[in-house]
Amino acid sequence: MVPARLLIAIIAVIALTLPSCSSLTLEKADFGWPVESPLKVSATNTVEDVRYAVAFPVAPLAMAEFADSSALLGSTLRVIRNHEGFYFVTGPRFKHVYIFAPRAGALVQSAALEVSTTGLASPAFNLRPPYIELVDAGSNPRLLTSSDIVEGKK
Amino acid sequence: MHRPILSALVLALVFSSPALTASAQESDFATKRNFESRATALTARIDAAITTAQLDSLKNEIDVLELDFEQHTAFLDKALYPETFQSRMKGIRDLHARTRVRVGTIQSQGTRIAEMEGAIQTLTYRLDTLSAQRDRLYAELVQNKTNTMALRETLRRLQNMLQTQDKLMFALVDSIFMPYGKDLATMSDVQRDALSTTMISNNLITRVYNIAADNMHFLGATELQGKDFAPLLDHYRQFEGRWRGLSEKIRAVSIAAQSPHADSALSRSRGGTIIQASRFPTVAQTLQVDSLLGEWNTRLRMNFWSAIEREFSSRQIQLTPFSDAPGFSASIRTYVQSLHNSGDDPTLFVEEVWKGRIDKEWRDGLTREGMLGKEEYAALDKLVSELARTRIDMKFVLYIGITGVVVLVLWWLLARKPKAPAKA
Repeated sequence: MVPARLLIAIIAVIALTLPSCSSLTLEKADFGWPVESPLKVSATNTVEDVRYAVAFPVAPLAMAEFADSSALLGSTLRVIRNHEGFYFVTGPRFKHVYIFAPRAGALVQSAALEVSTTGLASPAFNLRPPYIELVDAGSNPRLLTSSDIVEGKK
Repeated sequence: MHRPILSALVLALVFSSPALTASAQESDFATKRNFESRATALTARIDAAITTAQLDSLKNEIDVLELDFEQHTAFLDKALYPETFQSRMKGIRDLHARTRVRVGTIQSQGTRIAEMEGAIQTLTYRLDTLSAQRDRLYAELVQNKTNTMALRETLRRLQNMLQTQDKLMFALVDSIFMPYGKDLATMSDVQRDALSTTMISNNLITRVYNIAADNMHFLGATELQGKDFAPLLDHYRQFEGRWRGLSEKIRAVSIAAQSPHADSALSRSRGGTIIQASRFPTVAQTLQVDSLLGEWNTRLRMNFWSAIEREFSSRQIQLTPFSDAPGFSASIRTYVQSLHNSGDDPTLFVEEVWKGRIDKEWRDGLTREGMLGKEEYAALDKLVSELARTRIDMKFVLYIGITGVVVLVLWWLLARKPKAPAKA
């Protein structure tokens, strides 16, 4: 049987220490890029965007899409970031739009949306808050979220 | 009946739909790139415009560009960061306004340049004619060496010719530079090219160099007399002043151009010295002329002082050697002092040399600024005159004394009353 006094003391300590454990959160942040970045894959299989100061390797992406880590060498990827902070990546001949969430020193795939059965011709992204618009020659534009295609589904 | 028409319409719709879809969907990136490429192309065309008519047409294109992309203002403001759509359009309009002012200036200058071209042609023709005349006169000079009168006449004509040549030369310089106004440092590339073309086609620097060389050559052509030097000194000073003005202009334009003068050709001057003809006269070329002018000045002064020295030495008056104005002044003062101390007769020095030769023949030259100057000449003249006056005063006293004695004797002889004969 725990004495009542001890119980009150424990509750008081917990009440005092809990707020200091919770992290500060800034709500309604907007990470959206006003315009996509066409990024050319370098000889080292990486892409870099100077304006937004972001760079990442694309060999795993090439492996996932084309089963060939060097498939993207010299090609141009389209990259855009939506208002939530997810990176949307695709390119010519891609059947998917890859969506990545930023983590410490990494981009972690959160979704891969199938947008074409034959491969995109010359895709481009537009920021259309709260969506990302995917346009491609010869097909209707599609609106994407970080997990799904909400309009223009095939 | 209507079936074929309906089928055709359906087919047309089917075939045109991808095109409609494609035109309807444009990526924001393409919009941005389209705007940037059109703006850049328009900027380049404005910058290259050379007539006001072109600029009027380009102004319409600016309006069209703004109209075409106005609907994307909000997007372009973000996409063009740190610029905005409005700031980019303002930049283009500002460039258009600046170019319009520049083209207007060039067009008005073009009219003046056309007017001046006739004058330049006439002047260059007259300069070329003078060169032939100069050669004839030098030949005459050699022929007339034994005939003093003819030699003097040829020298006078040669001197006149050289002065005319200078005047024509600098009239040519004025004609070339006048259309471009005073502010040469801010002239445009087009104007600079036009100016350099005119200067090169008229061999401007080479002409200046050759004329300076002619003037220097003249100094060694014959033995000059005292009165010849004053106009020669004036002539040099005028030439040097005008050249300084021209070289400053050339430097101003050269520095503004700041372009490498790689496409240089060589032209050889009359005296054998190489003058480099490049896209624009370089500072090095102006330095070559500066150097020649320095040589001309040295030779002129050397001839002047050595000719004066000969005036004294030919009459067995040994002065301390001198080669410039302070040396001459010191030498005369020393000699006057020595005459004072020795009590020798100064008549030869004062009357024959100073008054007879220096004051008559050389005063004009000696009183020029940069030589003795008027004040120093007056001081020396006074010093020498006092030397003579001292002697004259002594004689004057002697004459008065003798006259006094004569008067006394006469008075004694005439005023003495004859003694009355003794009364018987």
